[in-house]
This record gives sequence, C-alpha cells and structure tokens, in this order.
Amino acid sequence: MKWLLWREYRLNRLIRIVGAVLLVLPYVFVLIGLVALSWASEPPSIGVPSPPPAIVAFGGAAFYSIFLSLLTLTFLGGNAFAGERADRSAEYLAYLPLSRLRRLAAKLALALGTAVSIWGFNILVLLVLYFVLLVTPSEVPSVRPDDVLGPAGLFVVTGLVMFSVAWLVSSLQSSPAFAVCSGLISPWLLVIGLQAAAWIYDPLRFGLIVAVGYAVTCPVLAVVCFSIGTWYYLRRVEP
Amino acid sequence: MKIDTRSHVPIYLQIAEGIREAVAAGVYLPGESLPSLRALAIDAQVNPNTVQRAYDELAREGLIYARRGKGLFVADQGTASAQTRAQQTVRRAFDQGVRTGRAAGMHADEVRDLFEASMGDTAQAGK
Amino acid sequence: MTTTTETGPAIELVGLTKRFGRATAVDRLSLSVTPGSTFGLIGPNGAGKTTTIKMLMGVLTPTAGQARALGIDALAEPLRLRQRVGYVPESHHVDRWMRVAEVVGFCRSLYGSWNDQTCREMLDLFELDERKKVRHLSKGMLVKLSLVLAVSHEPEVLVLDEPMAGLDPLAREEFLDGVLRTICERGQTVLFSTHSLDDVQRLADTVGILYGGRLLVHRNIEELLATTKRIRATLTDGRLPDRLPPSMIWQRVEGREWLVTVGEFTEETVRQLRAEEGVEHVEVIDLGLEELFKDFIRGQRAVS
Repeated sequence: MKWLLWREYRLNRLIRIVGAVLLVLPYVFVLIGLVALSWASEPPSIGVPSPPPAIVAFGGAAFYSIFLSLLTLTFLGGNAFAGERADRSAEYLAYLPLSRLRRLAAKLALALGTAVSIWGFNILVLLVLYFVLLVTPSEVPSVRPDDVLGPAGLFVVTGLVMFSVAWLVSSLQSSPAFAVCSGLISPWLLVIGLQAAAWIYDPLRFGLIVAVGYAVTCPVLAVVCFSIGTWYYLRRVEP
Repeated sequence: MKIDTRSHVPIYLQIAEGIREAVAAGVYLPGESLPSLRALAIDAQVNPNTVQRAYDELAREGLIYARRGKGLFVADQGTASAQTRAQQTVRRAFDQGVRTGRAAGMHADEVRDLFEASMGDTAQAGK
Repeated sequence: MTTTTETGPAIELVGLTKRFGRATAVDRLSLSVTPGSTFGLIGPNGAGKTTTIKMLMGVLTPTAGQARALGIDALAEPLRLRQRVGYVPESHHVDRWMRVAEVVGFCRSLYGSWNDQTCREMLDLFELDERKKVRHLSKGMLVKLSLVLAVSHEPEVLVLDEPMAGLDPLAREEFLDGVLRTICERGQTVLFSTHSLDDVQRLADTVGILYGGRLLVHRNIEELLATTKRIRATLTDGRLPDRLPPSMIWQRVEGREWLVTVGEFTEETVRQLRAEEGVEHVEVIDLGLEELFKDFIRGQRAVS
C-alpha cells in the first residue's frame, strides 16, 4: 500500500504544485497589501473607510485559501481515474495482481490527505488569530458563529459536489480535463436548476428555496455521484 | 551454433548435424564432455527440449552417451562414427549431383569438371 | 516457489469467444498447454492473438467460454492468477517518470513470491541501470525490463504477447537469451504470440495457427512439419480429379500444374493421387514453417 500511495502522490505532482500555490496565494496578497499600506506616506483621508486590521485580513485569507482548496480537490478528483487512462498506465496496472479496491483506496487517501493538510493549516491559522484576538485589545468587531458557519457550510457542500462529480466523470471516461470541468461547473448548474425551479413553483420564496435546495441537494448529489463513480470503477474489467 | 530456421531440415536434426561435424573435426574428442543442454540451448537460441531431442538422436546413433549426474560425453568410437556419417552425407550429395547431371544429358567429363570447379571454389571460400 | 497440485494443463482455453458488436475477434477457441512446454500462437495481425491473451489474463471479459491458467479461472480470480502468471506485453505503459529501481520496488510490493536475487541477476544480465528513468530507456531495454518484472516473481507460467516486435536484431537476441535462460532454469510453461516464424521455430514445442479468431491448427511443431506436405502434379486435362485428397489445406491450379497442400500426409495419399486418372508426375515437396503457415492462411482466405 505504501508504494501505491507514493505512486499516487508522485502522479499528481502538478496538482500538488497548483494546490500549494492556491494555498498561499491569499496570504501573499494580504501580505503585499499590508506592506503596501505600511509604506503609504499619507494618512488615510477622512471619509475613506480605514483598512481592516491585519488579523481580520489574515482571517479572510484563511477562508479564501480554504475556498481555493476546493479547486485543488476537484483537480484531484477529476484526475483520479481518467489520468491513468489518458497516459495508458491503467493498461499496465491491469495486468498486475492489484485490486481496483486498493487502487481506489490510495486515490481517496491522497484526496483526504490533501484536504486535511490544507484545511488543517488554515484552521490552525484561524485558531492562532483567535487566540491573538483574545489576548490583545483591539477594535475588531466580534465575530458571531453564524458569520463563520454559513460560509463554511457553503464551502463544504460545494466542495463535496465538485469533487464527487469530477470523481464520477473521471471514472466514466478518459479525459481528466473534462472530468475537472464537469466538477467545476456542477455547482453552477445546480444553482441555475434550483433558480429555475424556484421561479416556476414559488417565486415569492425564491431566495429561501434556492438556499435550502442547494444545502440539501449538494450532499445528496455528492453521495450519489461518488457512489456510482466508485461502483463503476470497481466493477469494470477493461482498463 | 547457427540454426537456419528457413531450412526444411528440422532444427533438432540441424543441431545433431552440428555436433556430428564438431566431433568429426575433433572439436570434441572421445571421452570429452559435450556442452550442457542449457548452454547449447542458449548458444543456438532454441528451446532446450529441441536440444534434448538432438542429443537423444545422437545417443541413439551411439555417437554420445550419458553419465548420470555428469552430463553427456563423446563415445570412444565417436569420431570415427561421425566421420563415417560425414562420408555418407558427401556421397549422397555426389550421387544427387551426378544423377541431376545425367538427367540433364551431361557427359561424365562435364560432371567431373564441375566437381573440380566446386572443389576449387570451396577451397577458396574456406580460406 | 509455490507448489502446484494441479496435474491438468498449465493453460486451458475452452470455447473462448469474444465479440465486439457484430465483429467476432475470437471464435470458440479451445486449446491446452501441457506444463513445461512452450506454445507458440502464430497468426497475422488482427487474428485475435492479443484479444485471446487479454482474456487469459483476466483483463477482458469473454463473450463466451473460459480461460484458465494453473486451474484458476481468469474471470473469477484474476488477482490470484496474476500472482502465478508472468506477463510481457507488446506495448509498454510503465510509468515513464519512474526510475527502474522504483518500478522494481513497486512491482515487488505486489507479489508474494518475489525473488530479489533473480531480479538482481536479470537486471545485471540485461545491463539495466537502476537509476535510469523509464522514459530514457530504449525500446529494447524497456522490453527487457518487462521480462525482468515478469520472471522475478517466479511464475509457473509465462505469457508473452508479441514480445520481440520492433526490436533490433541484437536486442532480439539478448531478449531471447533471457527467455531461454529462464526456461532452462525454471522449466516454466510458456505461451507466446508472434507473427515471426523464426521465433516460433526456435522456441515452440507446440504451435497454433490463429486466423480470423479461429484456431486452424494445434500441433506439435515437428509433427506438423512432418505431416504437412505440398504435392505438385500435372493435370493432363487441366481438370481436377473427382476425389480430392482428404485434409486438403490449400490448392492452386495454373495451366496444367496443380499444387495442393495436405495435412495428415502419408504414403497412401500419394498412392491414391497417382492412381487417379488425369494426374501425373506426382511429386512431394517438404514445407518449411513459413510456407506451411502461408498455405493455411491462403486456404482459409479461399474458403471465406
């Protein structure tokens, strides 16, 4: 299993690099912004809202980084099965005494490991910021749990859908790019579908229907797509 | 040992002939051991079973014999036997040549001239 | 080395069929290979050789029939089969970014019966540099690497799919060397597909001719060469006799010359032909494997 994991890790090197860039990009922007501000010679003029303190900026960067990690995970999901078919290494693996289940488990482990490390890093940053907030006095408005949970929930379900759809499409054909794109557009298609349904059935409660509908449909769709993709890959005989 | 896969002579017979020629030429002397099955198979680039058949054929002829656990050896009368076989082969070839010449209407002198020419040519090639 | 308790054939195909839509790639193929022998499957391109081998390795689902190696059904237990059967493919899709040592390490982790010493010896024999990346290996070295991977886990059966296709003569010889060494040392059963008759003559004990997905012949090679002969005769009236020889494989009439290739040749065949009216100057010609193979194919083409 160790060698399988290593292989999956090496196979997705490009995605890992992109993922690393996406991880740090928000922080880099915040840093650049802060540095630029500190070099500004004039004091901020009256009437222009003062820029947020560093803590809030970094907190925002952490959220953005988590948001961007959804892209990374979608790349991984889309490349999972189609990548091997595209470079034909699936044909080589087919003749080895290696079960599909083990291969799938390694891919899943890589995706989970990537998610855990990216989110872990960002959550760690948030925790550090939170403790800094507790310790230092500042005029930062207190953050309510609702402010965080709402976007967090949105990220989670959107991430699940994107990954699962990419996973399914990857399992069914041999173009990783197509699988990734399918994953990326699936939330949009879902929203459009929900908006259309809401507009037709109950335009008055449009916003509610779309929001609740999205929150419910995403996990369900994710589970269905992931299951079908997994089942198909395990059952298929040909590479 | 070179095997001609395009020839109509079965490979095992080609190998047997090769060994016979080697014995007749004194490459392997009576009492000396012959190459192992594996060595000859790899050298001739053929299946070891084929080499086994060749060796079986030669053993049947009495050219070689097997000593349990020690391999295959040239029989005492091996060289003489191989040379006799070689003579028989040459004689057969000559018979064939003469027959073909007679059938084409050649005189004995013409056939003899062709023989001399052939001897000359092969002597040149042998150098 | 795992001991086998099967006394049956090392490889067995029973009525193996594969259809792709309306096209039949393999048609009711049945053959068996005795343990320790080498079977050469020859046929022109598109005859179904690779498809057959894929079904034997459990990589393709047959439309009908069964493929078994060492008593293990390829469709039911492919993983168990692959543990004991070594495979050398025609086209190589090993991960090109891996180094030779990494490929070896990866394969090693999959097989229970991997023998490090065998692997080391074969790598040295083929002078394969462990640190080299697969993308920098020539075709010849790639094929040799595949052979190393196929035999290092001490399989009882070796399956090679057109292994020497596209190799330069030196690489061919070196590869053949490696295959022979492993046969001599371990006495495996070997099944290989090829369209090179030179390979078949050198390596095979038994030969099968595959054409259009059907097995035309399945015989010991010496026997096949001994019992398949071409007969040349003159037809005085330019007309074929009423009684054609049984087991006729192919025939051609040009003017008064009649060429007919027969299997199961005996002296009786010649006697009967000589006894026929309108047939004269019956002459028997020995066939090499190449001519024999061509006649079988020609005969099939004439029928279809």
